[in-house]
Amino acid sequence: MTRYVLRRLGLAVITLVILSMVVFFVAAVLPGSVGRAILGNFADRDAIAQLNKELGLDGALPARYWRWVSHALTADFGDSYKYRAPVMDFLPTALWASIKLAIVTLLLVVPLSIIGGSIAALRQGKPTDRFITVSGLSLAVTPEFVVGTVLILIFAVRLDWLPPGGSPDGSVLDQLKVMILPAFTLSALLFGYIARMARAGTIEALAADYTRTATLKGLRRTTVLRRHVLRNALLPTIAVIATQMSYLLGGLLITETLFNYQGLGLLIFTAADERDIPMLMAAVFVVGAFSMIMTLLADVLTASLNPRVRLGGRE
Amino acid sequence: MSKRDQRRIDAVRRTQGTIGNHVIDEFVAGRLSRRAFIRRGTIVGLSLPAIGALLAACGSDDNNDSTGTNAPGTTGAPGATDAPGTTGAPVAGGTLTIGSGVPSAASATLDPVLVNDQNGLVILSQVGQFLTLSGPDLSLTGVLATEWTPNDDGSEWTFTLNPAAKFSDGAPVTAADVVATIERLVNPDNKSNALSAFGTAKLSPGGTSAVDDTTVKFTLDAPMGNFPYMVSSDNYNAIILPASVTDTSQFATAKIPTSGPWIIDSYDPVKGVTLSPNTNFWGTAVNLDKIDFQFFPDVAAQVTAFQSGDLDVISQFSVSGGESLLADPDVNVIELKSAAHRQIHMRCSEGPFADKKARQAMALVMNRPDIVAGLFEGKADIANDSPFFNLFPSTGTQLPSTYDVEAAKALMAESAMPDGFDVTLYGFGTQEIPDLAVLVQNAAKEIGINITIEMRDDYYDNYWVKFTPEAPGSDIGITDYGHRGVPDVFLTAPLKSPDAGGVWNGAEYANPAYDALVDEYSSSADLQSQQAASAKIQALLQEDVPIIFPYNYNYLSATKKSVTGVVTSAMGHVFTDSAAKS
Repeated sequence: MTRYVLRRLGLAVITLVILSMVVFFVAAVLPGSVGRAILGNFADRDAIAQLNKELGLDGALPARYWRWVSHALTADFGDSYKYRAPVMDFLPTALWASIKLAIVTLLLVVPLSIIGGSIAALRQGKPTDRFITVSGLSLAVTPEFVVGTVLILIFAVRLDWLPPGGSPDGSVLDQLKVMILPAFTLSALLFGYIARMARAGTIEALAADYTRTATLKGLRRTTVLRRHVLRNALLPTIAVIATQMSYLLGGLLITETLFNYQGLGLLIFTAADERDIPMLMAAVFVVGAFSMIMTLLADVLTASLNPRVRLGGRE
Repeated sequence: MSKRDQRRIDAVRRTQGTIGNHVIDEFVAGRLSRRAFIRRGTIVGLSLPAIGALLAACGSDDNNDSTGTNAPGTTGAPGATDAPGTTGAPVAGGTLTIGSGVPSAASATLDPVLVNDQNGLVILSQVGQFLTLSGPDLSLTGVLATEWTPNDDGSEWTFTLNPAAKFSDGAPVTAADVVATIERLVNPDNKSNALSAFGTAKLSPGGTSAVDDTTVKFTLDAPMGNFPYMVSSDNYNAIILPASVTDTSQFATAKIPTSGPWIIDSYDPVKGVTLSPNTNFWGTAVNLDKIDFQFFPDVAAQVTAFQSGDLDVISQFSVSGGESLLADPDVNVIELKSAAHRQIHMRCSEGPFADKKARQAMALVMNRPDIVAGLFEGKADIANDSPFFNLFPSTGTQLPSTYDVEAAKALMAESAMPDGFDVTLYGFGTQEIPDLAVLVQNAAKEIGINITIEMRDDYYDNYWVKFTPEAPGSDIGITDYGHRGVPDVFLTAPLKSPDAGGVWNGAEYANPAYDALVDEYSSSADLQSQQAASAKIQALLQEDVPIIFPYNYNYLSATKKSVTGVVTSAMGHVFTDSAAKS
């Protein structure tokens, strides 16, 4: 097991290095001057050239990359071009906001989709199954801004029960109020995907020999489901949930924009749009690292539950 | 005119120089309307009491004077009126919540030297003050300055400061503060956003001096009739700061003393800013307890926040995305005429549009009424291929452009490329520009010009102006320009020859006759001369068509019915010193 974890850790580090290089070089070749993005489209050309020089953008790319890496290793991601303040003044706040939203979303969507997927599997081919499957798929293909806008119009504008968005500040209750609508929007998007995985896993587990054995030895149906079906059915679902974490942290541009929720997705988009390279690099790096950790945790969890995985097929 | 009226006019005349007296002559002779006289009079420094006396002497009732008599930061703002349908009586106190966009990178720390967008300037003008204020009707009123007068040819302007004005730390606002502020803005080393405005104003480093504690003199490189606009709220970087301030880079959090009605309590460049009243404010105290600006990355989120009651004011919205506000009877929509517009430049020096006939044909196939109706639901004015928009008094009579496809086809048949040609139109894909590009593409097709559209992030680096051999510019491109109170910048930077100040001349238009006409216009301090130059410039630009000016669009803001006293400007200011909630 230790060897397995170390191997996965090594792979994660290599992936992060490659990720940082790709982001750095892609950001460097983005069309448009950093100086103009900062000073404005109509800024004086000499002022733009002077600013580019002050920011060290006239140096060679490999040297600039190495300078960034050497500082990043000490958690110094430099100063944001836009805010003229350390990146770390902004990144943790946005990351924490995204983590909170991700947690609330997962707390909503995971139980709902696992229960929904399991019920669909147990009622396979029946109207309940079709209803859950079709509803999940329909929600999954409906754009976030449509679901979000409908929720805002009903619950914020018409009924005035919840705020239409904002930042998760203040008391826990206030924060929850702000997060409920975006969390439901994301849940609608993810429900179909996770529920389908849970349904497929449950159907497979229901048809497995060990389930038949458990049933034949006289165990109660709920016990069979709890101990044998769900435990095995949820293995692939765990991996899916883990991969969705990185999306929930850094890929929520539309939802965060719609709800004016200042998370990591919006931070990354703004940084890319305004050529704030230090902010962009750091934010993508953090999302990448988080994604690696979550994937690693999911793999370790899967491996601990399924020896065939950690042994790599060696029985 | 009675002897008593004549005596009143003579009394005002004795206080004025040549230019002021010329404006009075024009009004007395009936060649200036009442409105035009007020606008022009405020520019050349006629005081509001003097204007009132002249209006009364000439039999004009000034009870409906749209310029008002008070500037923001003193006792109200020009044009400050309760919106129709306002509900309830205003009460003291409360928090006004205003939605705005997220400040740009240059505006992110609210550095007055760098701020370059309305999301930054709208906050600056809560805490800072200008020498003069350009009102919603483009008239000027004094804020920190009580009067301003030009010398005989308009190459020197002297401003007298209000001796009562003081900063939030209690120190008086002096001429030395004005000199330090303006010198910082004209210094090219500071990368100031105001460089283009002061370049147009012909004010160079060292041109600002203190005559005494309350008198400032601006010595220009050449006469400039509209100079007072360049130190007004139109030049939003020009809020006056104490001379002792040397570093403005972290203005939002540095607690730098300012003279406006509000001070910054807290600032988050991502979320917003809260303001509290300046307890040392030298004008009339504000009604509200607090202002809360909330930043939104897009208009849709702002609109829903407004509709759900989270916002009292939306500082600006566009027709596209704001339809529900325009249709809502419970919303006060503030609509101002603005000089914000788009320019479609066509390269005159080389390429397919080097032939004037092709450019003229393009202008003829632009169906401007349909464009204005389609893109702005009519909330824009048709422009006619010059920056002399209807809202500028100096425009005089606007020469209309024609929509005539057959005439355009005939011109193309006579051009160097009678069978038409293929060309790429470049632009920066913001707001309605991609839609405008499609309309231009469709129109051009009628005369055999096949346009390929490319909206690019690096438009301003590479495809706007041929800055370097590596930046090729473009044969045709669309550029967005914001509002200005006078057309001087629009006449100069995109149209004058590059070596005569045309630093944004994407059309590569170089016509000495045009340059001379703009110089003639710019140095004119009286409206009649400006209008005469305007007529010649309009005719020349319609003949040469280096740039198609299809429209200038209105500036839209919204307030709840329960909000009163909010005054906006087409530049993006939201003046709140008289605002109240009921």
